[in-house]
Amino acid sequence: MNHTSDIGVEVTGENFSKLMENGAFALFDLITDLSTVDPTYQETINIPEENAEDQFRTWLEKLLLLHNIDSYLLTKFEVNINPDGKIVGNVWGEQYKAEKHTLFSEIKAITYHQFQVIQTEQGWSASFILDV
Amino acid sequence: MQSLNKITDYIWELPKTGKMKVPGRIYASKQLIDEIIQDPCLEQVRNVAYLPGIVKYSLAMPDIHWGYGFPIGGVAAMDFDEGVISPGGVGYDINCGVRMILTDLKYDQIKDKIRPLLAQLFRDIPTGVGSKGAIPDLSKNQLHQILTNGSEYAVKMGYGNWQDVEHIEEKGCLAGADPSYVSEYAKQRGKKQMGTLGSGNHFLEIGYAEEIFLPKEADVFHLEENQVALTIHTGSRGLGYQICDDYLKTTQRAAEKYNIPLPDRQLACAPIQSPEGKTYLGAMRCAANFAFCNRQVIKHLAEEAFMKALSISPKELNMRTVYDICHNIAKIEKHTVDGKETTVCVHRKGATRAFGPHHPDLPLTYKSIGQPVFVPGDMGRYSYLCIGTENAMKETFGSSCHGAGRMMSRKKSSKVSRSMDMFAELKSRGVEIIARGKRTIAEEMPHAYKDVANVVNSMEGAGIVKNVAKFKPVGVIKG
Repeated sequence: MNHTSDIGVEVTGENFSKLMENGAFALFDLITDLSTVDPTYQETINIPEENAEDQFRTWLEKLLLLHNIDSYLLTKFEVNINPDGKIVGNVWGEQYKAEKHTLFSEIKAITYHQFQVIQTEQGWSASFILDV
Repeated sequence: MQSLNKITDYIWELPKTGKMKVPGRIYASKQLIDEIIQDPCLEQVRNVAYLPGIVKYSLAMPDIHWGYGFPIGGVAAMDFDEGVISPGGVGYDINCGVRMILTDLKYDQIKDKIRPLLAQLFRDIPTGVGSKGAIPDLSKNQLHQILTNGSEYAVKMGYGNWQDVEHIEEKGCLAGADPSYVSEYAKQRGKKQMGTLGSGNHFLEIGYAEEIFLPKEADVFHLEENQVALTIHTGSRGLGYQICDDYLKTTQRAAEKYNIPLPDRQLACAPIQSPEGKTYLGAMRCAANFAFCNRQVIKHLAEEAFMKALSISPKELNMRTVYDICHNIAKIEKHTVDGKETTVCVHRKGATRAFGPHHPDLPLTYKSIGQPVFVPGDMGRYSYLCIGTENAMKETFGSSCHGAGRMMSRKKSSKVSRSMDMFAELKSRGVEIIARGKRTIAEEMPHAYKDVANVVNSMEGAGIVKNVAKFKPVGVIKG
């Protein structure tokens, strides 16, 4: 997606779990070359019950905080939706090492401008603009 | 998009329609306005005009381009009692801004030493994504002092001097900053980044005065042709981004609570006088102070790097801050509206303050000529030193443009850059560059930006600023 100042992302998934996994991958793919990241560290992320848009947003925000505060680069994502609707994400990656990783972009935040999560005939689709 | 009405050769009006509370006004030459109308940013000028308490106009400067919520290059003044404050109207990089610095060096003295000079600057100033701060891990107390006192605390830590502080907007410290309104996440993001340049469009640039337009005014700056200058463009780093993000959530809830309809969620806002509005102001001022301090620390590092690389004394270098201005900020100011002095909250997002002569907030040095406004262009062409005018006080709440303004997305710019040797292209323009990665250079090449001469000439044509001098870049470091 083209935006004059920033980076726009469009992502799809055959179901909501896949959408979240793909959204997370897109986010970190913009940050670094994911082929250089080893999935040695694992973290579990719990997403509170909200509407789909807020869940998707909270998920990305929590992952971005792991990167911005603790310097984690994440490369593998697994999202499960429990029968009670609670979402649990497992993520894998490692901490940034200057000698090993190249960082492409500093993502300031996920903006609300044109932020959208919708269910489609094929599954789910989301679009968002990152402030870089 | 409906048509614009021409008011003068440099002012275009977006008529008040629908739920707009005021009309929009865009400052631009005919050439620029023809480009601006191709961009979705005018819809954003209109959306800002919906906000409660907006006074006179939803304004846009000639470097306007598509932002999120507010356009970049937007200025909106809200009535202090009836109006709202919007974190989106300030932006993520709170107090992203520019510090212009002069030295006593002439270009001839450094022209054969640009490369080693840049290498020294690049070594000494943490640059790019993931870089560690010049002060690597701030203690809780240090961070508290920075958030409360801004640049002044940098000087107390040994970075720069009081001459610098005197020549910063608000003397480098916004009063009313309250660190208790800043989240732990924001503090965590900020504590490792004091004294870092960052990435994206942030930079440090060496240039020299190529042409002086107003010799009398230039004398006030002790500025002569060929004199070497330095520009630092950076902001409040992760701390500011997180504060904006936190308060977008708070103000979205507040907008619902106070029944404020939002044409775009990014325009989330709260009444200035509400608890939500006051806490955002307190937190935003902390980020502003962090940014003032950050530019102060970087200026000091640059001074040391110059002395080391050129083997000269502080006296020979005489590096001094000309002025330091905010690009993304909300300020409580007094302006004359319909003949009456009115307190307003001026949102400047991708715009600068440009107060005219004799304004009480100006340092003594510039009282007679007006506030310096340094407008960086792209890294290949030129930048301008301007001064604010009386007319700016009457028309734009003492505001002007902040830069060239992007006209090409990062993606498109990178695509264009792939077909060229970027280093050779910049070298042909007389510019050396050192950057952490090629991607940033590709996104920030001159073709991505408007010609800043058209931008500042539009502001001068409208009588908002006067152009004092033009500067030619010769060396840049980027993240």
